[in-house]
Amino acid sequence: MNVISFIQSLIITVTLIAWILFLLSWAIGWAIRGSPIPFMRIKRTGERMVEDAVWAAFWLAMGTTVFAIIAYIATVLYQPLPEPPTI
Amino acid sequence: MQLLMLAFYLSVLTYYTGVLIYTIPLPFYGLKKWAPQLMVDGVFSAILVFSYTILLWLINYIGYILGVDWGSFNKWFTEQLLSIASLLVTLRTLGLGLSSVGLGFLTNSFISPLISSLTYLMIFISTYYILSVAIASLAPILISIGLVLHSIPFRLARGGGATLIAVAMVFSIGAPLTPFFVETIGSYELVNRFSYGYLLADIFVYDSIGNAIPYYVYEIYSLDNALLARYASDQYGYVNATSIDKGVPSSKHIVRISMAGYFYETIVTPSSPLLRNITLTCLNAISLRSLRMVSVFNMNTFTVNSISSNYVIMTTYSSTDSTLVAIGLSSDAIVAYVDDEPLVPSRTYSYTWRNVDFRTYEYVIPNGSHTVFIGIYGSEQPTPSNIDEIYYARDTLGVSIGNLEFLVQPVSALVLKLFIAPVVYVSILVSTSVGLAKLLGGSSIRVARILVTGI
Repeated sequence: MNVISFIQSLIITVTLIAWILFLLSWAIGWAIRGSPIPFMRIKRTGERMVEDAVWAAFWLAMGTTVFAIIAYIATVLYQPLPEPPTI
Repeated sequence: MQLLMLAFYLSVLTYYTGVLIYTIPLPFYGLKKWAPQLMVDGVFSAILVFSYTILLWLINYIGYILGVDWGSFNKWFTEQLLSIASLLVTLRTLGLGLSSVGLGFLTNSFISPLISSLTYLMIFISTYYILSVAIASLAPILISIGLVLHSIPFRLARGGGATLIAVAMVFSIGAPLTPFFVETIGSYELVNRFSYGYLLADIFVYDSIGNAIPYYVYEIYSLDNALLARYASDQYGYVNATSIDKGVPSSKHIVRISMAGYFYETIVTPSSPLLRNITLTCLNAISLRSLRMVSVFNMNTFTVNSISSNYVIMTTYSSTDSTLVAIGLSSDAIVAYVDDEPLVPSRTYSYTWRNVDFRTYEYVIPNGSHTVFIGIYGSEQPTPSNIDEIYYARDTLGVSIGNLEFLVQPVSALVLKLFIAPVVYVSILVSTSVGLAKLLGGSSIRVARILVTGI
């Protein structure tokens, strides 16, 4: 279906952009952390950006695993359950 | 299948979009808060998509526990239509009877609104039934579409999708349980009385050669042997049941014709509504004159050669011994000859029926072909005493020209049972699906209402 292949290409594009942006924001975050600007808030912003970027990279890599786990649990759960109690 | 794949890929897209937002190097909290929300939404939608089979199985499982039976739902629906239809027939006959008597204005002003409200009721309950069947058979597609809507990123259509899934599930389970709910709330004795319908008729009963049988008693029983009506015929064998207070049922019923201590029973199914003739023939009887009759039993054939008001000569044929019964008054002289040989009765009965004394002789006719002569001589012509007649419309249905307002009650009872009760039940189902939709992730009350009532 056109829509499905369109969404699949969209997913690939988004993943690619996410990796690139991860590298970018990780670099910017460390740069802000290391800059000699004497405002604590800016430093905290930098730390937050680094942490977000690392978490994002982690979840990006785990994406396939997450959905595989869901599929596995669903197939396990669908074993026919015992008959309901009759009155 | 395609829809499910679409829903799955949409949820994957949502997840990765959430991750993307995490990586954007702009430190705005308003932007970043979308990230975990999108990721959780994506995962939840994917879980739902994989549970598609489980959802469908859950519908059957819970339905089985609650005792859902589509067969009995269909049967209940047909019965309701029949009860509305029989009340409609009654009203139509009444309207026709009133117009013929000259009270046409009553028909227009009183009976017509009742008939039109019953018609609207039929339309409503049929729509409700078709809607239930439609949602239940479309449930898989509705759930798939709901899953697709649910998976769209940024929660754009999450509420609508969840509502679709919830409505499909709740109505597939709940709709066949409507009879239980409706019968508990709306059962009302009054309606059952009209389940046999109502018809105006002229009733004739003849014997085997076309003479009318005078002075019989015509009783009408329902199929489970409840007495519905009793009429007495005149000396010409005619019962006039065409007046509005009388009438007969318009659906299948049992008829018992009693005459001088003997009775005939048959089942009558009126074929067309409105005014008609009911003609019944007693195939083994010969009526000589008022209150004198001859009946034959176990005979293969008999042919009447000549008949007068005092005697009958017939040719009979039977392969085994047969019985002939001659019914006359106790003051009559009854003689019988078989092939010109006098015959002695094997049994004699004396009894009183409707204050007239009868004497009945039972003869055994040997097998083979014989000529039989039966003479019943007597000059008394009593009139049987009156019986307590039960008029079908006036007594059993409780309807007559004087108290037509009484008819409003069964119509209102049907409206309660088949309109108000289902509407209450539908609102219960709708609120349940709204609750389930909230559980599945946001609800949209407007969508649920439009889907159910606006279709």
